[in-house]
Amino acid sequence: MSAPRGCVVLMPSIHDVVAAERRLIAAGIGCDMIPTPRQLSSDCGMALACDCQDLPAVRALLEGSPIVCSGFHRRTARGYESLG
Amino acid sequence: MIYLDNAATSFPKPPAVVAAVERFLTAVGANPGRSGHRLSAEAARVVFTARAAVAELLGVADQRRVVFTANATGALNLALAGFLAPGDHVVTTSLEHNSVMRPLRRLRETRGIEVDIVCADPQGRLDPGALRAALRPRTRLVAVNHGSNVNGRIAPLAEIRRAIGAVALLVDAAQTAGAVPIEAEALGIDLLAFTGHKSLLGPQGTGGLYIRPGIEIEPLLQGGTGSGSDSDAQPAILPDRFESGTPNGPGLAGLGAGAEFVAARGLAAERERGRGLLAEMVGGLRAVEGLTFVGGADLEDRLPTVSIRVAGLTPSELAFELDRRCGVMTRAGLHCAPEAHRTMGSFPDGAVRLSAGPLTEPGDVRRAAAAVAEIAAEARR
Ligand SMILES: Cc1ncc(COP(=O)(O)O)c(C=O)c1O
Repeated sequence: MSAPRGCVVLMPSIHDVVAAERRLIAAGIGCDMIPTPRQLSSDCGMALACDCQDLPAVRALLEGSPIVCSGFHRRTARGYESLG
Repeated sequence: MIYLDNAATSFPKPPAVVAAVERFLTAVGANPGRSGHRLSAEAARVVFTARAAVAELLGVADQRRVVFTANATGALNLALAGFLAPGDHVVTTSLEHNSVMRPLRRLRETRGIEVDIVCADPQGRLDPGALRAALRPRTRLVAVNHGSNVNGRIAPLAEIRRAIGAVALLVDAAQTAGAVPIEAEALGIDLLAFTGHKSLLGPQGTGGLYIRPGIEIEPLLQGGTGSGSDSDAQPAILPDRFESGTPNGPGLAGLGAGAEFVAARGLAAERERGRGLLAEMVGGLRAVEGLTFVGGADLEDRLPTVSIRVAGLTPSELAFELDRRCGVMTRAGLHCAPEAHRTMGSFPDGAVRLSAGPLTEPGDVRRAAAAVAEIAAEARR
């Protein structure tokens, strides 16, 4: 099994998840659409995972766009840590 | 075979549309975004692409405000029943399709809304000043057909918007979306209903509604959206709020490909092409003895849609002969718009409608006119 990307961005609608994926791909940032971890939210059935080292760039890209993000999280040994 | 019933639904569709539907059914297939696996993600991308392509063609920047429905009828019902409240007054026109007239009638009966119908002239021209004159203090909505499905007349949306001031404007763009440039946001349209299966070239079972920011409407359906699943409250966010239930994935795949086909040609070019087909059609039919045009024979502000009557034949006889003998498919009757036919003097008998579409060739239209001439000549003998 490949190591999953460590950070998760939540969005309220699958439309925004796909819009975010498009932006990240266009910017050359690796990401995966994943089932939203149950512990985090039931906002939308899918969320976007990215590598934590890319998180500042991801935030900058999404926060300067019309895409609605409802949370950024980092995977930890005990679950997830909210990054706001 | 000559298909001139594009105002009902466009045919044929571009090969790319067929391929997109097939790809969805054979290689994607999953429930868009609901399930979390790779095919579900791919299905969500397909729906996203269709929404983005349609929003672009309608001049809508925020794609989330384009919500998909099963057809224009679904969108119009959502707009009318979702927006109007007891006591509201609505101004509409005699050119409306039954998909506006019937929901309005029901809302009159069930919610006590009041409706005034402004008459167009016999050529299907609307006077924006007459719409303005019909406004009352309680008028909450003006509903207009952007393109007549009887004679293809295009309504002057910018003038109408100016004439009615701040009252909300609902536009039925069933006939015009994909056929003429529409800038929904720039024009200040509040609600715009479109269908996917006419000039946007998608499969049947597709359509949608653009909802301007600040316009509050209630969903007609509540249910699963793949979002907010821990709550039994309908989500507030768009498009989810208005898209409960598994969407028409294969249909939307085709709609996306259709909208991209239209975008590649360009709406201005498509409008020009329509003008050329109309001129060809009217030119060919003008020469036919005993033929009358319903709604005029002019070439101004019209889609390539023409309604005719021929002396000595009922509309259904003419349509049947065109089909049986000449392979020309048209539509006879009242075209779900009895008031429009009344306005144009063709109620209750109706007319035969010949409607060209994005894949109609000028030669098709010429041959159809020749077929009408031949049948009309026989009817005179
Ligand atoms: C003007 C107009 N409005 C609404 C409709 C309804 O469209 P749909 O069949 O997609 O519901 C049509 C076509 O049938 C139409 O021509």
